[in-house]
Amino acid sequence: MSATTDVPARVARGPRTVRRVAGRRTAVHAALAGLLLGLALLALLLGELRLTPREVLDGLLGSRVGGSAFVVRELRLPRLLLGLLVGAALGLAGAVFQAVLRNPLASPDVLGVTQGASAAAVATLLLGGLSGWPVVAAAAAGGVAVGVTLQVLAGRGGAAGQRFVLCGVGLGYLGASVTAYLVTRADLRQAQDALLWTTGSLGQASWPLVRTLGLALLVLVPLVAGLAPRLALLQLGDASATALGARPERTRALLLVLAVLLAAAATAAAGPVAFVAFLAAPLARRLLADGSAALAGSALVGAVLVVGCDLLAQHALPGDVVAPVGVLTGALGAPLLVWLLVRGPRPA
Amino acid sequence: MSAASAHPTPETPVPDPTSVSPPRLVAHDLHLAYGGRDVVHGVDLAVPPGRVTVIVGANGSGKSTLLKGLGRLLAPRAGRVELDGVDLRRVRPRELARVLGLLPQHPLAPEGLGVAALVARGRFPHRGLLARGGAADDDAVTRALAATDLLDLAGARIEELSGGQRQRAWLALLLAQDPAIMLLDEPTTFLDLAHQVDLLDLLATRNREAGTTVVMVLHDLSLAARYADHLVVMRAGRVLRAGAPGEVLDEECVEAAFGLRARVLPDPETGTPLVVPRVRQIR
Repeated sequence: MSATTDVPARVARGPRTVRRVAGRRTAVHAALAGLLLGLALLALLLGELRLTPREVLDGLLGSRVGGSAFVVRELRLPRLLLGLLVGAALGLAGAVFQAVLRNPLASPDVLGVTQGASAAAVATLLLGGLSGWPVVAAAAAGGVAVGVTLQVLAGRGGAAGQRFVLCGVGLGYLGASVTAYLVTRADLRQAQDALLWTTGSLGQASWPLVRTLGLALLVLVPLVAGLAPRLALLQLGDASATALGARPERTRALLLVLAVLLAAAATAAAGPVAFVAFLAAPLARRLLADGSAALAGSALVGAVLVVGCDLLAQHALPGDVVAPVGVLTGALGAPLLVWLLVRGPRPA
Repeated sequence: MSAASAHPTPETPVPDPTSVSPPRLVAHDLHLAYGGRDVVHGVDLAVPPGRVTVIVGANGSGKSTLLKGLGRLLAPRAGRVELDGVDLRRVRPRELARVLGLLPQHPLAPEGLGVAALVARGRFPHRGLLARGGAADDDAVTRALAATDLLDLAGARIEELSGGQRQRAWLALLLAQDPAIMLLDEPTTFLDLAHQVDLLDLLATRNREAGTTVVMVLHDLSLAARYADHLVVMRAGRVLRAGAPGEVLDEECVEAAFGLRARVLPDPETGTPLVVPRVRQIR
């Protein structure tokens, strides 16, 4: 679905180098999918109740009832799927942002879009007493509001500038403050809920939540995939894109709205899971190294990051501490952000 | 007649350029501006179909702007550009891209992009909404790579190429796009003389063999005169003179357009005008 799957087969059969490029692409995607599958198996096996592969399989197939089946189907599987969907949505959103704005620092979490979405979601939840789709809608509105504000405040110099990024960082803090205020004010009894909206967590996973997010992705992902060839043209600059029959302004706006919606949907489900959107695309692009926007690769890397970090946060922290997934993704992403800021942005 | 139907289908090679009528690109009283600053003031220009047109002029004379206007990168402030009598703004962008291609002065390539992948992007206007390219696509890309002598470098990355190879890769993208009219904005800038001639020969060959209409902006007057069938000299946002190079490019014209006193001699190779600046008193 990503940009440069279009190395033609005829040429691929010709010069060996082209075949190698196309082969690498398949290999990277397959390796990421394999890694994700391995992590998913681990996530189903590990826990307070350690299960055998046989028990997991029985639980998945529903061929047995009882304790282990309940643990697999009602506890671990929803959490795994939520992590997978959240990671894929954030990874894809980040890849779109970075490719469209041609700036590796421009991702929805660095620019405050997820924080805005989180603040709006938590306001709807705590002040409005609503849940489900209204929360997703509010999160989308919050994310779009941050995006529009950013465009008005700093958009004139182009999205590649430091000003754009720094304004976004500021708006992110504003969103985080609003969230923290709302959470404090509501005097949440459950620490889990507070952690969800300030750090991002998968602890609240449930089938309805998985279904809501899954449905949102079912609509959004094909739309992004449909625009992928145009995104590949945008990467050549506006003049070339226009000459090749794209409408750059319109394509950019559409893609950004879709990416904001993806990030907002993920945030409505799991809170502002830090830095996944920011990390996934650079990692995927580095793995593929073919100049594409690495959309599919970023979604896979995002899913691997969230599922993997959740595994570590649940089972691998010293002193039997269980942390929300956002703590770990934050610890991974912050050094990369610092590095990119020190190095200065280059075209994504 | 719709704009697209006038274009010969890419599968059928055109043996005799005069046997089909190529689409006509015409500017009527074209005014172009950046922001509030008018750059081109009312240009009327009929691009001769199936021929090579070269636009020349001093820096800031509006030649690149005019090319952008012809290639719908810049919407007219007033006037219009028509393709076979239809205003460009009324043709759907993808349909237009099948007929009208443009190589901008500073195209971007994302880091890591391969030559074949870049060239394949030229096929975008020929693809369906969701469909990947078929065999016709592959053929077009392979032919474009072969024509630009890039088959061996098909897997190389754009940033690994030399300046001349890089410009050939962009030209290959344009060849793969296969438009009946090609616009090129200073395609020879930053190339040494040998590579300039290579590139211009490639375009001349394309023009002769496929009947492709070529419109390009060039700086070198003598090369412009050698390769152009139709020479357009711009001054201060207007067309100063237009016509066959031998009729247009004389000493008076060079002085009026460039403020340069020069001798214009017949090119010993082709007989076309050769512009030799006069020696000035150096203070």
